[in-house]
Amino acid sequence: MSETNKEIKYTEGTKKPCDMNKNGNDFKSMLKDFFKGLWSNNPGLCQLLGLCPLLAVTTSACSAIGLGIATLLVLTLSSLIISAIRKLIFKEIRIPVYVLFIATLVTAVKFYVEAYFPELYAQLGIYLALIVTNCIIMGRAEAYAGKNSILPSLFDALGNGIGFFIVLFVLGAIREILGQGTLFAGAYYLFGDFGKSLECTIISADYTLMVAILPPGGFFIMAFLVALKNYIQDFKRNKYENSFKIKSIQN
Amino acid sequence: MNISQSQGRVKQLLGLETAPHLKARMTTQWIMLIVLLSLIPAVGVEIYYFGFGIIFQFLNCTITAVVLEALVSLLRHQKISRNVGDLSAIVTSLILALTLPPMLPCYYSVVATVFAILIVKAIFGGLGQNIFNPAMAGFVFIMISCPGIVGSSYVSPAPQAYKAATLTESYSIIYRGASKELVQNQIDAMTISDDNQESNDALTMATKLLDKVDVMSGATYLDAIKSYRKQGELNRLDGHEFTSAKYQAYLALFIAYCIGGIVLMSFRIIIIRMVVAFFAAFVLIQFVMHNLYPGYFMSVTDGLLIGGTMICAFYIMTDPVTNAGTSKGRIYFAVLLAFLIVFLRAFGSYNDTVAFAVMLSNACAPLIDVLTKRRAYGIKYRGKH
Repeated sequence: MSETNKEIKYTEGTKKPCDMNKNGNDFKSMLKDFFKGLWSNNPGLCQLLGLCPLLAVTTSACSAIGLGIATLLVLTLSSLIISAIRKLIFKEIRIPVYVLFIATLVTAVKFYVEAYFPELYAQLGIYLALIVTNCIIMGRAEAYAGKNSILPSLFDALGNGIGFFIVLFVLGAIREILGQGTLFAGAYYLFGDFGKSLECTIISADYTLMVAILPPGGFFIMAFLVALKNYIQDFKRNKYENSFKIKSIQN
Repeated sequence: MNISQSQGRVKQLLGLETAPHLKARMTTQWIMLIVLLSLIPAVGVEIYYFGFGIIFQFLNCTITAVVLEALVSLLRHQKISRNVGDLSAIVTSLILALTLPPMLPCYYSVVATVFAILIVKAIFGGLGQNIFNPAMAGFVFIMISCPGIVGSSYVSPAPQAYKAATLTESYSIIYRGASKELVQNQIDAMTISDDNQESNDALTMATKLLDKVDVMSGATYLDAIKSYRKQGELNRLDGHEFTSAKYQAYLALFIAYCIGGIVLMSFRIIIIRMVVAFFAAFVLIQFVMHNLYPGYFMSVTDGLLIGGTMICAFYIMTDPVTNAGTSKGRIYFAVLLAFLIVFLRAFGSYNDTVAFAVMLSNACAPLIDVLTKRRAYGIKYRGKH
C-alpha cells in the first residue's frame, strides 16, 4: 500500500488524492483535469513519461502522428474500461488486470493498423506493440482511472493523450524539418490523397543536419521543448522574482 | 532618494569578497590572448599549405561566437564586455577554424559555432562550467550532421597552395558555393611540378601520376588510410617521406604546433606533465600496437604527424575546464585520451577520431576526479587503518 501511495504522489505531483474524490464529479474540475494533462502536467514535457517511444519514433511527423493516435486511442479506452470496472478489481492484483486490458486493446489497435496502414505499421515497428508497457497508460490507470468515475477518467485520459500527441507531433515535425528538410513526408499512407497534398519540402537537402534524426538530436530537441515549456509556464513568476535581484552583484 | 542611496551601499558591500584577497598575475584574458598568439605559426602554415580558406573560417566562427556570447550575456543579465572580453569565444572559434576543413561552406561553420557556444558552453553555464570542449563538440556535431560535405571540403595540401587558393577563390568557394575542384586541381598541379624539378626520371613520373589520380578522386591521406585499415591492410599502403612536397604540410604543422606548445609551456599555461604523459602514452601504445597489428594501426610518425594529434596535445587536452581536476587525474586523463585516439583511429568509422576521443575522455573526467581525489591525512588508506 505504501508503494502505491508513492506512485500516486510521483505521477500526480502536487495534487492531493482527497481533492480528486471530492470534486471529481463536477464539470469544471473535469475540464481542469483535461487542461492539466494538456499543459501543466503534460505527460511528455512535465511527467517525462513514455520517453522511449517519444524519442525513438519521432524521426518524422507522420510516424509521430500515427503513434500519437494509437496511444490516444488505447489510453482513452483503457481509462474508460478501468474506471468502469474499478470496483470489481481486487486491490492486490490490480496491476495485472490493468495490463491485461491494455494488452487486449493494444493488440486490437495493432492488428487494425497492420491491416489498414501497412506502411505506417512497418515504420512504427515494435513501438506500436510496446504501447502496452507505455508508462503513461499505466500511470493514468493507476493514478486516476482506478480511483475516479467514468466521465472524469475520460476527460483525464483525453487530456493526457492529446497532450502526448501534441508533443510527439511537434518533436517529430521539428526533427523531420531539421534532419530531412521535409514535412509530412509519407503522409499519403496515413491520410490518402489529402496527405499527399500536405507533403512539402522546407529546407533544401544541402542544409539539413542529419544529427536531428539521430538519437542525440532527439534528446537535444526534447530538452529544448521542456525548457521552452518551463520558460512559458514560469514567465510571470520569473519576472516577478527577477525584479528583486540586485543588478550590481550579478557580474 | 534614500532607497537608491541604500542600494548604492548594498552594491558596495555585496561587491566585496571574503579574504584571502589573492590575485593571480595571469587573468583569463591574458591566458586566452597568449593562446591566440601562440596559434599564429599554425595559422601561417595552414595558409601556406592549404590556402586562405582558414581566414574565412576564422571570421565566420568568430563573428558568430561573439554575437552569441553577447546574446547569452544579455539573456543572463551579465556584462557583455566581460563575457566577450575574456576572449575565450575567440579561442574556441580559432581552434574550430583550425580543425574544420578549410573550404567548408559558411553555413556549416556557423552551425558548428552555434552548437559549440550556445549548447555546449552557454547552456552548461558559460566559461568554466562546460563539461565538453566546445570546439571539439562543434566539430563532432558538424561531422555527424553532414559527413558528406565535411569530408569533401578538405584540401590536400601542397607548398604555396595560397597561390592557387587565393582570397577571392576561397571567398567564392566558401560564400558563393563555387566548386572546390578547380582550386584543388591547381594545388595538385603544384605538387607535381614541384616534384618534377627534383627528379625527372620516368618511374617517379608514373608514380606521381598515380598519386595524382588518387588525389583527384578527392581523397585526403586520412581517407586512404581509412579505406586500407577497414580491410586490415594498412601495411600495404605505400610509404612516404614527410619531406616530399605532398606531405611537407603535415611536418610543418607539427613544428608549428610544437612552437605554440613551447610558448604555452614557457608561460606555464599548460601543464607540462600532462603533455609529457600524453606523448609517452601515445608513442608507446601506437608503437606496440603498430608492431603487433600493422594492418590496423598506423606507424608512430604517421600517428603523430597526421590529423589532430598535435593540436589535441597542446591546445585541446590541456583545456583547464574540461580535463580532470586533480594532478594525478590529469595524467590518467592524458593516458586515457592517448589510448582512445590510437584505438578509435584503428577501428573508428570516421577519418580522424581525435575529436571523439576528446569528448569521451571529457565525459570520463569527473569520474577520474572522484577516483583520484586526495586522501585526507589519517583516513583509512588501502584497507589499512
